[in-house]
Amino acid sequence: MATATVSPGGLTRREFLYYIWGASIALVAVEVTGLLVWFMLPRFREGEFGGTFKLSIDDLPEVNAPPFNFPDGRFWLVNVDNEVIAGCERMWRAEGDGAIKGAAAIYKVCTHLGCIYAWVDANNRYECPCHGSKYRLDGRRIEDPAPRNLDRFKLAALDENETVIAESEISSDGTYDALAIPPNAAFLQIDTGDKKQGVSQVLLSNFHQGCP
Amino acid sequence: MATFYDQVREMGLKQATIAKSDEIVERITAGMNTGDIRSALRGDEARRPNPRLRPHADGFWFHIRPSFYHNEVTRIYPTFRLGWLSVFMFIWETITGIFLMIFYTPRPGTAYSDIWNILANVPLGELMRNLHRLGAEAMVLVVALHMLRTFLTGSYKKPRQFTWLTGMLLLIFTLVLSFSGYLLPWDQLSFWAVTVAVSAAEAAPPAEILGTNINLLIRGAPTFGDGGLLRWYLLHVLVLPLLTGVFLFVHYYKVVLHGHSLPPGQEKVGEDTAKRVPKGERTYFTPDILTSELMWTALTTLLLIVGALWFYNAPLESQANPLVTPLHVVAPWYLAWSQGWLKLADKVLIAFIFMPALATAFFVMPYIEVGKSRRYADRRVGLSITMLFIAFMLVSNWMGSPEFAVESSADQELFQELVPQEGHSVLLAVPFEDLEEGFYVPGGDAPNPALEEALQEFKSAMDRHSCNVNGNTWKDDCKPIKDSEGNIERYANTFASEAMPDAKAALRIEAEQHDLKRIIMQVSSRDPVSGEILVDAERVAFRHADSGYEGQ
Repeated sequence: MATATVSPGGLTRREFLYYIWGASIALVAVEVTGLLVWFMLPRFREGEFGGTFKLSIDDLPEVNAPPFNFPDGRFWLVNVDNEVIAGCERMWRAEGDGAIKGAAAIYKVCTHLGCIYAWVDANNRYECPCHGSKYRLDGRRIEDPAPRNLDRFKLAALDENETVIAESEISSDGTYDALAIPPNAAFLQIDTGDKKQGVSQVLLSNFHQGCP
Repeated sequence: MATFYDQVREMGLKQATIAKSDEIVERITAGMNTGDIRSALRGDEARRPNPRLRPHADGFWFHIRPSFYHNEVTRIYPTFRLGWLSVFMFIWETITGIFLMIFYTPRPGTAYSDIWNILANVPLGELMRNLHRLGAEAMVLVVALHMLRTFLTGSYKKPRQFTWLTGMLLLIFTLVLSFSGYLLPWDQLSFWAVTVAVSAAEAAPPAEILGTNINLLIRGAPTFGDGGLLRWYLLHVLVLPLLTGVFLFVHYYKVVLHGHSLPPGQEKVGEDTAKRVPKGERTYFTPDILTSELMWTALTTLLLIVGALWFYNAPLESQANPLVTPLHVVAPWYLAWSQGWLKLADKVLIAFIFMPALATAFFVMPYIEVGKSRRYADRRVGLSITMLFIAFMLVSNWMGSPEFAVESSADQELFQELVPQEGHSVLLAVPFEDLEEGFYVPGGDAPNPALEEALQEFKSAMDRHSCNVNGNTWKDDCKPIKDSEGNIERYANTFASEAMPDAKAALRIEAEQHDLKRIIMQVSSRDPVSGEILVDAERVAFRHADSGYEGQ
């Protein structure tokens, strides 16, 4: 291989201008790429995905009973109470766990890679058919590879006149707490435009398995 | 030069026409006239200067092919024709793909029915779809084997490292091409496979900025729909074939430049005979390699057509349903390893650290393994690592199967075997007219042999997913579970951790409509000690006279 013997010397004006010219072409290329990405981003209106669903209070399942499937809104409606002994096998309680009591609207999509998990009655848990994540009735994850608990939608209880009498509150860890349903509630309102991510907590299978 | 008219006046019409056509042939072939072509086909010695080399120098199509090969690389070993086969598959996919495009619209509302139209109404449509799908799977296999061969014979070593690098790109393009085509039929199989892949991309860190926008770009909206399908269609029919074509030429150019490396044992260590092939050891492209490739084209076409006609049926499940992920949904076989890995660990770790690291390792491999020798005996460490890697990939593939980590409860697995949410089963494969209406039990009597055989399968599936409570020692699959005093409490099944105790199951077949039957399977089980109902489940499946499940 021939070695370069001619020293290029200092930067000439022509060479310098070529570099500047090349740099501006590169800059334009970056700008065009940015424009292309901006152009390719889909247009949709805020709130186009998701909506508000109103259900009768009768659709709410019994305490710790299998969840109510509402495919149109992409959620499960659950009614949980980890202090009730009967049916506690659905609601394993962790040591130091506070009360988990009330209703929740749980987003039907697995927090791992977007598959729709199913409620498997014989195993008393949700199971994902894609990569095998498992969740308890209230959406706490009990098996990998899901990174966090199931997401929840905002839930409100309405009375007969359809005025809001209770709304789910955001817990300290940023998800919607289970909502205690007032006795005079007649309807439930689920806002699927308002979703809060589940918490990433220690796997439930490591928990103490004793019932309350 | 004399005009054609002058020539006619000079030699008469016949001779002038012959001379003119000869000239045209020479222009088209960039250097070979009719006589040269005939002499090549007869196998005569070429005249000097050799006109058979001129198309390689002056024509486009031949200049991307070497004008001669070393005799040692023209046998099946060492190339196994795999590189050529990869290009053949690429062209094959382009041709069959264009046929399918004629009858396909990339919209969720019509895509699925378009595929059915291709299968049911378009003449040769089903064959064309089978050929395209079979070709796609064959292409993945061939490209992967091509790379494996290149590695094993050490052909990626200096000076061919860059050829390997472009080959890696082509492998990735092949995988993405195959996978992007997966979505287009818009059935359950495709929808969920692609949903998983896109959701993995959505996890790109930092997810709030990068992941969210990547998701929007490749899904065309927050959820899959019109926009997403169109984007994947354009990727499949336009962007990726173009990229593949461009890098194919880069790859080919490097092959012309460096020639085919000889089998490792045939030359001294450190030598590269392909650079300067001695005159006596050359096999010229025209006519030997060219005619050999034509023969291989015919043979591969024959094999693919036989395969698509009698041995391979491109799967088509029910229409994509964003609200139901079927149980036992699996990635295409060539990506099963990724599904296995994603079951194991965090998605960011797998998709954005492990996979890119592995791909990078493959890209730079020829720059790492710099030993001069290509001989097998001198590369024992590398070859051993390769074998271990292949073993690792086989285990990963197994982990991608539903057996690993996604087994559901016994009743669901029983349903999955006989009346699955998607695909066929022993029961659904019973001929339509043999599915007589009635009530049946596992292993029970049936009005015809086909159904009776299915009921036997029903029984053996029940054996696998359940166990009797009281001392049924005749069944090897069952092992006793004892209480603290040593009494047998119940029997458990060695195959299933969650076997149903004393399960009862039944099957009902009803006529739903003309040419449509409803198959209802029920299973129930009680806890032998407490008497509590453990399982009480039902699954309904439909079987149409034209479902096409017979003999599957």
